[in-house]
Amino acid sequence: MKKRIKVIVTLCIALCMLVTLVSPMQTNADVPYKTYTQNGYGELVATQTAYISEKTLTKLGDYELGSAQDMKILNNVAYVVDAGTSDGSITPKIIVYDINKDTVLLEFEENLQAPSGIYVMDDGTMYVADANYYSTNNGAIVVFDSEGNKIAEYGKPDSPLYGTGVFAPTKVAVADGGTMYIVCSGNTNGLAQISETDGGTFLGYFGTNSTDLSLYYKFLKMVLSDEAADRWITATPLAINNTAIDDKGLIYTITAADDVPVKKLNIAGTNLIDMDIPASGAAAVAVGAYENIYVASQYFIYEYTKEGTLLFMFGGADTGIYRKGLFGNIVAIDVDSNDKIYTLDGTANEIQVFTTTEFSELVHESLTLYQKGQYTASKEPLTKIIPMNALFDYANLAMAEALYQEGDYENAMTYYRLAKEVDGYSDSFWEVRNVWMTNYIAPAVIVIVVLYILYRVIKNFDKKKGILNPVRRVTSVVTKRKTWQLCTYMFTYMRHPVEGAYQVKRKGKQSYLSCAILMVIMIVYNVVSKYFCGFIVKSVKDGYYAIPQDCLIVIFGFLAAAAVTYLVTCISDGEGKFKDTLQGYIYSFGPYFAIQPFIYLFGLVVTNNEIFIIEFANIIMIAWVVILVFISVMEINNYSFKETVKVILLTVFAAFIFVVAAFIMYVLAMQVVEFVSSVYGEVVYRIGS
Amino acid sequence: MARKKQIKRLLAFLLIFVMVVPIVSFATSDSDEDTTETTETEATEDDTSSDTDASATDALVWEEVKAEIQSEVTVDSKQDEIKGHEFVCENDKFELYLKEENLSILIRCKENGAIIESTADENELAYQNQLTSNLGDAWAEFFDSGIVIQVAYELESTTRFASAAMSNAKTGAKNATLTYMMQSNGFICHVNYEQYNIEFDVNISLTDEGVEYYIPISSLVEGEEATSDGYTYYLGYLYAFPLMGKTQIDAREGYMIVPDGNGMIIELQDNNRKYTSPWVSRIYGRQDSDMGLDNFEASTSTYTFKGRTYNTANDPNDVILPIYGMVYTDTQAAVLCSIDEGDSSAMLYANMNGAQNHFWNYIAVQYIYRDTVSEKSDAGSSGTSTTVLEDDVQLEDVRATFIITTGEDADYAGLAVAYREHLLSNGTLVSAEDGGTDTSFNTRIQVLADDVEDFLVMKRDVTMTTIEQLEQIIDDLSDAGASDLLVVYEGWQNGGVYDLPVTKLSVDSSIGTKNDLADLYDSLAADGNTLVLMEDAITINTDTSSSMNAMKKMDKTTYEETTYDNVFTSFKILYPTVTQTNVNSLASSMRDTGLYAIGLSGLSNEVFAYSRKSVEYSRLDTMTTYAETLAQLEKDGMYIALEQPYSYLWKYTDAFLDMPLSTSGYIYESESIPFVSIVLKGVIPMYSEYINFEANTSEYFLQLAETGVYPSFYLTYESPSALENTNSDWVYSSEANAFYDQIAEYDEVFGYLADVTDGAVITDHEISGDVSIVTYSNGIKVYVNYGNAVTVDDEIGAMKSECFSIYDTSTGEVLATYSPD
Repeated sequence: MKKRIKVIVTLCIALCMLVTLVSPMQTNADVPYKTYTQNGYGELVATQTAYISEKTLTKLGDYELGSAQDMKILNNVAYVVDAGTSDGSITPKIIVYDINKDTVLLEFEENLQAPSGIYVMDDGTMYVADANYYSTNNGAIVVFDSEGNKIAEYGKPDSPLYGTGVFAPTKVAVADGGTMYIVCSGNTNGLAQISETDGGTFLGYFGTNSTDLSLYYKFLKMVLSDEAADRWITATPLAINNTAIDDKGLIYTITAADDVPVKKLNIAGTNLIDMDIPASGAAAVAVGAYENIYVASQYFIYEYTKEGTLLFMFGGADTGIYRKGLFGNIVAIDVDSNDKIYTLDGTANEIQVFTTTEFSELVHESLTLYQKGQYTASKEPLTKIIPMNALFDYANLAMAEALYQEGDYENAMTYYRLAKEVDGYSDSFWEVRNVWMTNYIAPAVIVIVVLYILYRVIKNFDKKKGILNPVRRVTSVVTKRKTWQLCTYMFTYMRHPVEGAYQVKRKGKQSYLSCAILMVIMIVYNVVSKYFCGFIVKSVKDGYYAIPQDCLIVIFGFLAAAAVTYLVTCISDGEGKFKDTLQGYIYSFGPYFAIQPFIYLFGLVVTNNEIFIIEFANIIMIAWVVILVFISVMEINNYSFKETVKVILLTVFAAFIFVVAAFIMYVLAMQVVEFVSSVYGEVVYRIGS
Repeated sequence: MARKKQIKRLLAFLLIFVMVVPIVSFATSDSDEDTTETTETEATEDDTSSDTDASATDALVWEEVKAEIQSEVTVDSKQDEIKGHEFVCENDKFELYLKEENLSILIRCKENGAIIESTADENELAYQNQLTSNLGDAWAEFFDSGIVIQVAYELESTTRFASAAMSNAKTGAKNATLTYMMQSNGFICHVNYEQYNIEFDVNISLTDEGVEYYIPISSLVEGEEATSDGYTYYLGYLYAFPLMGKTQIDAREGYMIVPDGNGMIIELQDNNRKYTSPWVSRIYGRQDSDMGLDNFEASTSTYTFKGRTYNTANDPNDVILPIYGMVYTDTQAAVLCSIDEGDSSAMLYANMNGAQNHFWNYIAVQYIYRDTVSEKSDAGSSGTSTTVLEDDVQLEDVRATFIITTGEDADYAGLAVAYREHLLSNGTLVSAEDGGTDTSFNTRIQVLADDVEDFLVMKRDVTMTTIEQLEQIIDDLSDAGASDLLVVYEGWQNGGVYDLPVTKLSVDSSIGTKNDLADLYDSLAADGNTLVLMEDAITINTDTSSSMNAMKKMDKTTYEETTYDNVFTSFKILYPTVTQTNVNSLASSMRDTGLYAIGLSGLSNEVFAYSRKSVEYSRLDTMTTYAETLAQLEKDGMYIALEQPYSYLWKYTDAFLDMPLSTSGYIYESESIPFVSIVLKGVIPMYSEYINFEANTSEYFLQLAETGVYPSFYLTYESPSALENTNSDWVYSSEANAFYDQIAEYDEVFGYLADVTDGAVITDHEISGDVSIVTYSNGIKVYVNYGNAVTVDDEIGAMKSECFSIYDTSTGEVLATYSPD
């Protein structure tokens, strides 16, 4: 028996570990890279090319970059920071380059030692971050006018609030009022905020990353002494790597190693965006014309809406084959008023320029209108976008919103469904259902009343004339069978568990066949409830089916639970047999059999407004099942309350041990499989086939 | 006293040294003009002796070297010897010269005196050595020999994990014993690498097109006995005249022609070492290293999110035709190498100056006679492997022609036209007059019938277009004005588009019946249109079919492709002979139902080596089997549409599907050119990739006009959102009724263009700023303005932005002008 259980455990774990990798597709490739977007499930899906590579600037005029660090774009002019080469053949400098004319307008060095960041004001004033301007790790923000003349420099703040650490500015963003937000290398306190007044006044730190502890560290903190915890748990926040500022003065920060690499901070330093698909390993950020957020990581470019929904992601690693749109290492990104994206590649030392396609232009047009709340107006571009990409969920969602605003709830439902948007679907469905109820409630009531009367009439006739006797004769063939009675006894059991347990234990109300039948019925219930339920209550993706797992969970769950409980009760003076325990467990799920069909049916017509009823019904159902399980264990084994608690806790612990053991067995089995497979490979190779 | 004497001696010595240096320097500068050999030595010494002011010295020397190179690019008249090459023979157009010591050839074009040589001269070698100190053993002999080989050898003492290897060193003919036999139109050179016991003949003949070289496999002797060092050597790679068409840095004006996509040119300019690796591509598609033949794998870029892997880069285009070229615009001479035999196992290299530390621009072919194979010796995840040699030579005869054009034809268009003539003369292409295919205009609509998605424990149909609905689409298109159609129907088979392979005409019941298809075929034929049943001929879906016929790689394990998709996660490939049987069976079944048009993918653009029952089969074997398959179909009267067919199948192609209009997007690309289109226009009808997936339809519209390629659309009757959970989830834009107007518009515009060009071939193509001008043999010119501004042309006057105009040179009249919208 134990062996069988182990086999089942192994199988179950093996199945759970089968991960399906879903990804790309055939896209007709006229550009070297694929473009992805986010679907309603928060997954990446392919879409049309959103940006095409317009040009690659391997040289700025006649100038070749030595070590590109940062770049800002203003009126088709690129302001590029070049840290130079280590051999000194190219010295650190700032290049001001007219992209359209392919001409370097200005280049200056001005004693820059290790410039790595730049910010350009509308009047052409340049703020340059140089980490070693005075000496190693003693840097400054150096300000130049549009002609390249130095007009100010801001070194390490004198304020004690700054702390004793080094001042090594690497990036900088400047608000309209002249307040500088400075990324300092290795400084974990956040952005240093310095105003221009009095030659640079330190205002404090901004946007400090939080130090949320993982569960593991929380556990360590709980169990370790303070001294040990301090030694083991590093609660230092991560240092910010880059920053940007938008027209509204909102600050964006990049923390490459963070789980939330991109943050959009309000004045209180609170993050305003939540990204389903974060830009892993982000390096730079820029803000576009519609407050859309452009983020660059080493190889990829991401465009998000202002709320953090991924619109497009594209790019890729260039492994020395020099293809447009692939990168060695992006260090800076910017975007102009025409939505052209400019990237600076720190490895290839080149600028790539991307321009929008017809598709992304339409998306931007609809995005503008949508974000302004002009849903109806946004329909026009959307009607062009959706034929171009019927699987573009952002467009489907926007179209749904537009239709909802227009009162076209049925079509809105369709688009909400395509966009996998539950809330909007629920609202539309509520409206549609409301209309339906208004139209059909009276006829429905009449039908119910008529049916009831019919039922009463038939019942009366049957009483007098026995008109249903033929039916009874047929059904009695089934209902008189012991298996039928055992199966239906479940409903008695759920109402009288103590008596039920007695019947199971002493009066033979148990059989493996009835257990099997009830398990099959339960599997069917599960499958129907999981895959064919209403969209609002559906918990699995469309098109996803895991029937073998569903079957295994029910079968293995009952058998394993019964087996483990039986083993524990055997050594705890329990009186129950395995068969009793299994039957008791299955009968304990009587409330599930009784209530779940109603929950399912209600789920087909429910909206978010009434979903609490389902939740409430689930709570009742689960609580009922738990109580029945408890009583079953107690009564079948003739335990006291205390003993029952103990046995159940022991059962849970034993189950955990079994799972661990099964996992170890699985790992060992895999080793054996690999060994056999290796031997097979060797034989194939040596003998041939 | 003695000390004073010593000081005096020292001073005297210094004085002499100071006086001698300028004299030596003066003598050196004089000797530049006298002997190039002295220059080589001196330049090398300069470089090695002085690194400190290298940049200043380099600039000066390079200007001199460049001037010298430029002064020797033409020779006015016939000579006994040019640059060490002795006269061999001549014809009306060319003279052939030979340098016997290194098997270098030199061609002089009689029309303008331009010379094209096959090896670097001493000046260039000296300068290259100066820049890189020296080329190293691996490359030292590559640049100054006409024939260069790399040898494969078996190790003397084999270990479990390495029993064979490929030599990295390139050995030039200079180090072989060369025996010449002169002939009236060329010569035969017997090349004997005595140190390797490898011998073969190289036949060179001067033709009206240029020069042909031929290396018969029958002359190859190799691996018969071990050499004195104990190794047994085999011919691994062979480079034939790799520098035939080269220039150092920016010494010459011109460009290289690279067969990427429709065609790409790389201008000859100083790259300042920007690019460190060359463009490399195998002819007829890459071959994974574990499939046995080469070590080149396309770059891959992936992205992982929530445990899923996504490919982020599109593969570069395959090389679909075996050519490469070099155009010298300064001397108006151009050379195109057409690889006529040996293309099955060959790699092309285009080296931009600076790549691999070589400061020449050159484009060359590497023939792979025999490669090392990395075979896994166990199937474990560690993948321990053994390196062995391929059992047999992978090539048969090698034959290529350097087609040379001069004067006005010395550009990519002139070479493309000459190449078309070459293909027509050798039978690779068949003109309409000689019984070739009908090139009249059609719009291709490729229609998806059916796919499947998971449903509980089985699959269920996702029917996108039934036969009845397809008829409806055709009727609707006709009503909209589009009546010239090539209807390509896919996914018609029982089980949907990925139920592969298909061996008979078994129509999925959800879309209709065989008879419905036959009726539709007849009704379309009555209107002059064609219904093609499309099929992936080489793929096997082991979820739906037995894997018994799945192809095994050279390492004897089964080849498998992962799709990372929803329903079917991997596919395998059939043995070519099984593909042949299946296709013949399907075609026979189709003919029985009255269907005579078949479309094939996979077979048309995949070539691989494989093993079966411990016997190794080469790419050439696969090509031969596929060509035989199509020959049989042609013989049986079938109309054959092929997806992006490689050139060896062009003779069987009635419709060329998915013609690439652009390139793979390399940063070093100077210009995209319609080389393949120029070759094929008027000979084979070409259909574009699907327009509904194009992000920039305006530019694509103009590209269609420029290339003469016919438009294609991918359609379904139902909304593609239904395909979200199928393997066809890449189809996100296909609902037919959204495209009727666009198809009708394209049908009208490009139908008219096809009417006026009337099956003519392209005779010239030029790019002038944003405007491309295409000239047809019937006197029609197509002006395509890609720019955002109005342009003015002498011939047709003002031309608005982003449009194309059709101009009749015979009447001097602009027939029509079209814009994308």
